[in-house]
Amino acid sequence: MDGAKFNSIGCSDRISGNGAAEKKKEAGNCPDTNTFAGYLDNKLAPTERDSVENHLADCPVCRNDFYEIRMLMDQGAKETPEALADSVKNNLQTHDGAPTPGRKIKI
Amino acid sequence: MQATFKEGMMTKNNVTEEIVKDCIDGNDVAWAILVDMYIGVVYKAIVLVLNKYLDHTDEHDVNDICQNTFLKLFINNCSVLKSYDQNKSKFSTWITVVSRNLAIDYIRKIKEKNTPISDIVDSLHMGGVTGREKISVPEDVISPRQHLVLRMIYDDGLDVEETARFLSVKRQTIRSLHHRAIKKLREHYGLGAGQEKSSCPADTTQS
Repeated sequence: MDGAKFNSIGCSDRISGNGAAEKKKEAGNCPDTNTFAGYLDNKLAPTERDSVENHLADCPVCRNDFYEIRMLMDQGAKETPEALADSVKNNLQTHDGAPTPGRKIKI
Repeated sequence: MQATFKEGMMTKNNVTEEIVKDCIDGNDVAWAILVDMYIGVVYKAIVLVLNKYLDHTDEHDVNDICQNTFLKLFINNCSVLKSYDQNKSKFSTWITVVSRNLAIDYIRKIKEKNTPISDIVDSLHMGGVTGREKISVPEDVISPRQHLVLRMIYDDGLDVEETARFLSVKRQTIRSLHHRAIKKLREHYGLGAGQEKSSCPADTTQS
């Protein structure tokens, strides 16, 4: 199972931490990031778990996301380039915290 | 940061919880610690996703998406970081989902740029699965987990071993869920008990 059986990549509805996403979630669409992560960690209450599994049964795109993220989590660590952490820290220190202009990135 | 580390036993989750709070409070040291703790998780998720979907993975792209992931947590008064619910999942799982979604978004943009619009429309209409017709399951006859197991086996072509691994349960549990689901569906459709034991087509192992 390598996910290649699916044509689409990633659920376009799963966004975290912004109002539009939460409205979508309330409308009964795909689980949000917290719920999805909670399902992967097996930390959801039974009713919430049932709700996610109901959705996964009906949504092949979310199922593909589920398979892919589970496989990511099962993979061993990768060596991270030494300079990357410093570069990320520098970028955060110099950023003013304002949203980056342009298209909103869905997460 | 100095006030948040308490003496005694603290799990990684406790530590992360304190660090996340301090990051939200605007503590630079906490941000540096958060980056050091989770850069490996973020990097791994992004590299693996790009390797899977792109013919060639550019290290600059990986770095950009890593930067964007942490920036996404930081900007707009940490609104995304604030949305993390520590009662629902480990931070490492949550940030894996966030990083993976940002990598997918990046790939989508590349593919949209290089794909004729007609192909995009076709792929939207295709939904997720390939051409095979989905099995139809009536509502409320079987449990959500039984339904999911049937989808994983019959729609996605997983075997018992893979299904068990994805759902973090034993293979016997999958066989049992499958058996009970088929039994209930047979009863629902008035087909009688059928075979004494419904064999799972994806079951290539015995145990």
